[in-house]
Parts: sequence; structure tokens; C-alpha cells
Amino acid sequence: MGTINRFSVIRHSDISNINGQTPNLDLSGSVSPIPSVSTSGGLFGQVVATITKAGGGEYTNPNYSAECTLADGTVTVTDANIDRVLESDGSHLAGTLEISDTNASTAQRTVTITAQEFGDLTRSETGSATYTPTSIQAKYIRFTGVLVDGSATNKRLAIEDIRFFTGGGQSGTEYPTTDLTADNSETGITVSAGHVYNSTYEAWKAFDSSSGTWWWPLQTTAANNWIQIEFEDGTYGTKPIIKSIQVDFQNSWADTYYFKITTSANADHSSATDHGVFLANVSTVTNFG
Amino acid sequence: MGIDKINNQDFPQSTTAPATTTPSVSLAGGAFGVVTATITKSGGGTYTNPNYSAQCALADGTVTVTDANIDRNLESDASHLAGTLNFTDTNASTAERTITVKAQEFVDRKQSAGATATYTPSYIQKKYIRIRGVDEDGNDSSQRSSISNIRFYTGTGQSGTEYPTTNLTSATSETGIVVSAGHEYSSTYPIHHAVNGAGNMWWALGTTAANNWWQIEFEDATYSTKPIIKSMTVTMPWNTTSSAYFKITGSDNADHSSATDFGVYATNIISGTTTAINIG
Repeated sequence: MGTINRFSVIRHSDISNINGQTPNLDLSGSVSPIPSVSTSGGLFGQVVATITKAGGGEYTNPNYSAECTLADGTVTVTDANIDRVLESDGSHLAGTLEISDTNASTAQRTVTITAQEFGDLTRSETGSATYTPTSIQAKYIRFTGVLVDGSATNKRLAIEDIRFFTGGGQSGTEYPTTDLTADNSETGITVSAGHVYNSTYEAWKAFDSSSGTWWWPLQTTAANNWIQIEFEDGTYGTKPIIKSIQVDFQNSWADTYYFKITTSANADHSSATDHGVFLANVSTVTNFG
Repeated sequence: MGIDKINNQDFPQSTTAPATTTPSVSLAGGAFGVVTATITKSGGGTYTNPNYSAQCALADGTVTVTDANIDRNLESDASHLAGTLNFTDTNASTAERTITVKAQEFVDRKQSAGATATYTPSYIQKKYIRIRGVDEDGNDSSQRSSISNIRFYTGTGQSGTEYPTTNLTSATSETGIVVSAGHEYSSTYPIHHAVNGAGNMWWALGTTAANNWWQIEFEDATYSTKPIIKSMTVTMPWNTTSSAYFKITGSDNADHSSATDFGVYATNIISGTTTAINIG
């Protein structure tokens, strides 16, 4: 036997009486307003969901429950794996959820969110938005040191290792396929940087799989604070599709841990595509996608 | 008589709305009014996806810290709110306060009853006030400290008399005040640069864990009664090898024995900013 959720399109919690008879409900409390949801990002399944209060205004002290699913109902990200964010003053939950969707499916997902204001007796109805994980396929993939807002900075990066993978979750073919011993030691791959401090910290040191060596652009300008990998046309007529990456920052000598990923088909990085700003963990290897 | 069914379909029943389990609250800190409240679920277990509402008040009902000024924290995996609240109570009263915390599990229909705990802000009145680089647990750290500005105030919220009262030109340039440190990297980064008002700094590069400290002394001849310090500000330039936390201690002894611990605070390396840290 089912339970009536709506009667004549009206939610049960909003029904005060039917033909003069009162439902056996505690109607003393309010229902939280429905959230509006929008999504941004999508590279490697990294998505930000932004929640606003439908109809305007703001939640005062909200809590959220969220879940991501494929069209067939398969859950790709559970509520417990969706990150909350605090308001800038730390006072309450902000209207932002951060999602890392590593499910192998390339199909569109729906993130479904319900809200509950502290003290409201009933959570909101669901708000939803869709997203589709994207990947990178380009001749040049560049990491540029930036500030949290994505703006250029001369705060130096310091990277021990970067790896690119054709599968989600650091699976599939790994690029470079070897541990580099020079910027062009692997056929078909050239790594380069806008600036290197000296020969101890050359670009290939970020692709040699050694945690004891790193690329370091000490004294860089903001414009030159980058490192990149090139998939040369002669070997890679079709560029590999990159679905995840792994980054190991040097934990003592970087001044910024934010980096922007851009891609281009051109040697001067013109007409580049901006794939977003990422934050590496200070002390451990960080996986994206 | 109310409606239970329509055409033999159940109409939702909730004549007695379920309430969230009442939390238990414990408090730590209190120096400069800086307090951490730890929330647990009464009777054991943990909340799954909780939200909290909290408020601090004096016995007469005067609210000293509103809910909007009490900071939440996220669990280490950022999945939900953690069971800790942080707040700074700068109300001038020296009386005991009560914090009241209510919890509400997501989907639970009612917030919990209020749980309470009490605290009383405490202040520093010591001959020696020492700032030491430590780890998150308060253990001495050799991760170097640096200070480009530090001031102590007799009023809350960085008000009242400010110490030192001058911008020092040496460790002893102000009568009655002596600043010292366990270590200084070089004469380019001397101890008094932490209080010279010029923005350059004292730097403990190369320090041992034991010597990773800076302190101010209020000399007896000038300060037979030591000033009561109710707030302070400190700016600590950092890079990734700086200490992430600092501890404030106070002592009346030159060797800093019998020191009182006034708490562990995060440096800006945690937030990634370079702004002043105001306490109290």
C-alpha cells in the first residue's frame, strides 16, 4: 500500500484540511524552499554545483543532501563523497558543493539536491542540474601557476611529478610512458617550461618519477610560470584522450599550489582552451579524475 | 478525528514529529575568549549529516556571540559538518557564559533540544609572554617562525593600550620592555623587527624546536603590575617550511618555567593568506 505524497497536486505537508477534515499531521513547521542548482566544470569529472534559493533570497543556516546519478539510476557519486564548503567567514555551509565523479561512464549525470533550513520541519523538494565529465585531447597541455581566482602570479610552482592517463582514476596508458631523462628523451614527447631556475630544476625533472627531483621556476615572472607536455605530430597524429592526471608537488619550495590547465594546438599556446583552476594537496600526491 | 486514509491510501502520519538526538557539548580554550566547542551525540554514535545552531549568552540573557559569528568546520573529507564549533567571544564582560547548541539531522523533522556548556574568557597578565612555533598538537616544532608585526592590547578587539607603545629600534629601546628570542637567523632579521612597525621581520630560520620562540618581557621596575592583555595581533610571513601553528604561553620567570598555556593557534599557512591574525 502506498503513501500519498500529493493530493490534487498539493504536497501533503501543505494540506491544512480536506473537506473540512484535518490530516493527522504536525503542520506546525515549515518546508524548506526548493534549491535551484547550476553546475560548472566537468573536466576529469571535477564539478562544482552552485545552490541558490529558488524564488530569491538566501538560506540562513542550510544543510544539504545530494547525489549524482546516471539516467538509469546508477549512483555515480554518493552524498558522503560530495564535498561541502563553508562560507568565507566560516559561519555556515555555503551554497557550493564540490564533486569528483570518477565513474567510467561518459554519459550525462544529474545531481539532485535537497535543502533543509535549520529548524524547518521538512526538507525541500529536490532541485537538480546536469553535467557530463569531459577530457583533454590536445597537442600541448600546460600547467600554469595561478592564484585561487585563476589570475596569473609569479608565485612559483615546484612539481616533482606529473602524469597523464587515458583512463579515469589514473588508469589506462600513462604519459609520459617512460621516466624522462631529458626534455625530449621519449620519442614523440617534448616537455618544456616558461622558466627554470637552473639546470638542477629542468622541466623534465617533473616527469622522471623521482620524488627527490623537481621542476622549479624560482624567480619566474607571472607570464613564464608554466610547464607543459607536447604530443608531437609525428608520433601522435591522433592525440591521446586524457581522462585523469596525477600531480606531486614539492612540499617545501612551492609558493602556490593552485594551477590552471590549458590546452592548445599551437606552439605559442594561442587559442588555448581553459580547463579550470585546480588545487594540489601540499603534502601528498593529488589525483584529478 | 483526522484523515488517516484516502481511497484506502495512507495519508502520511506524523502526529509526533521525531526530533534529533540531543547533543553533548564540551569546551576547550577560553584565552582571549577563543573557544572550541566539541559536539557529540548523546548516548553514543555519531550524527550522519548534521546541522547546528548555537549561541553564547551571559546569565542575564545578553547574547555575547550570535549563531552567525560561530564558525563551523567540515569533516576531514569535507563530506559534512564536523562536530566542532570555533568562536571568539569579545564581549567586555568577564562573567561566565553559556553556549547553547542544537542539532538537526538532515530529514529529521525537529531540531534537538538545546545542550549547554559554560566558559569564562581568560586573559594574560604575565611578565613574559612567549610565541612559539608548534605543530597542530602543540608540540615544539623546528619549522621556523617569523613575525613581521606583533602587538598586545589591554582591550578586546585590538583596543585599549597597545604594547609595545613605540616602534622598537632595538630589543631594549622602550623603557620597561625587552623583546628576545630563542634564535635569530642573522642580524638582517633581528628580534626587534617583529615590533619595529616597518614590516620587516624577525626570522628563526635554522632554529631548533626548543629555540623556536619570540617573547616580550614587561620589566618589574616599570610594570610592577603587569598589564592585562585581552587581545593581540600578529602577522607571520610564511612559506611552506614555516610552522603552521603557534602557541602562546605566559610566565613570571626568566627561564619560562611554570608557564601557563594560552592555546594553540593556526598561522596563515593554513589559510594561505598573509593578513594579520587577530586574537581576542
